[in-house]
Amino acid sequence: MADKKALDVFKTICDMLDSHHFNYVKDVEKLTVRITMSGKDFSMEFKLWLYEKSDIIIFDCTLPFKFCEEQRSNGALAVCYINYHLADGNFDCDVRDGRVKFRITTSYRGCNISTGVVDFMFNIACQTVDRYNGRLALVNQGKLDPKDITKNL
Amino acid sequence: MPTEQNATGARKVFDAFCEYLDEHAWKYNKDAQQLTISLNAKGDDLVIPVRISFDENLHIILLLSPMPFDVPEDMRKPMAVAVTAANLCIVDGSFDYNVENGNILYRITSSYRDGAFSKESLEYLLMCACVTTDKYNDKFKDIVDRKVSTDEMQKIIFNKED
Repeated sequence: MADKKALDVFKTICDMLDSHHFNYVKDVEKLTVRITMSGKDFSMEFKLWLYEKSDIIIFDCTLPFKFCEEQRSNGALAVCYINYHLADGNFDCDVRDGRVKFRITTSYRGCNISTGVVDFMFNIACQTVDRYNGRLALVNQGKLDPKDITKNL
Repeated sequence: MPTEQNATGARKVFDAFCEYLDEHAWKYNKDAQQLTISLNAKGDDLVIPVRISFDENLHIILLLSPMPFDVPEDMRKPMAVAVTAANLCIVDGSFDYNVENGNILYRITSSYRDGAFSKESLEYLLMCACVTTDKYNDKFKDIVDRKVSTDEMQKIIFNKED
């Protein structure tokens, strides 16, 4: 069973989502919320969860496509170019199976988390994924050079 | 442009961070105007420099730990595979890799919006920066020194996490 602090933070995440009237699926035992958002290129599947071992909130979003085998090293390269330009959060690329995920975290150790913090994390995650998922898909299709992925945004 | 209220929030976190470092006898340099802190931690293999700053627009604390070496030009593309493998195994923070100049740095952030910080959370961020950098800096250095290939290192990183 999760501790009270984690449950309070989890409630704050749900309160933020409720305040926006978002539809989501929550699992209180696993301290996890799943939500689908519509982006300009793809729909985005978000998982909002607590990693109690480190007292951190993690929002992650797995992209709806995988890099094909011949483009995986380019996928890794593209993700490096993007991450270098991000102030908060990062993309992870698994070169073993081609999956790409965006991840953003914040610590709640010894402090109170407001709905404003959760709202900020969710906005950054949605904006960043929406900004880059179409471009990452173009790299996967061989239509965009990884070094150009952050240009003219 | 940061507002006065944003700057006050950042200063509170800056002051709390300096207090934490003083309480634990860390040696560090601070710039109270720019609200930056820099320190060196001792790692197993290499010195771990950590720079602490604040993004007053985003209300986030940023800890950056640059590797004390650059990736040579002929290894810059393959190094991306090793950096992404390391990132995949990290729960918090990430290695940012500038493919153009070969710089690698570890970055961890946390929001301080609405007073969301404590000395415990600041300690966590600093420990995370030191431990994660210490875990991977020698691995990246081995690649740069051509002791292992990026493919071999990728296997080493994933096997240790499996």
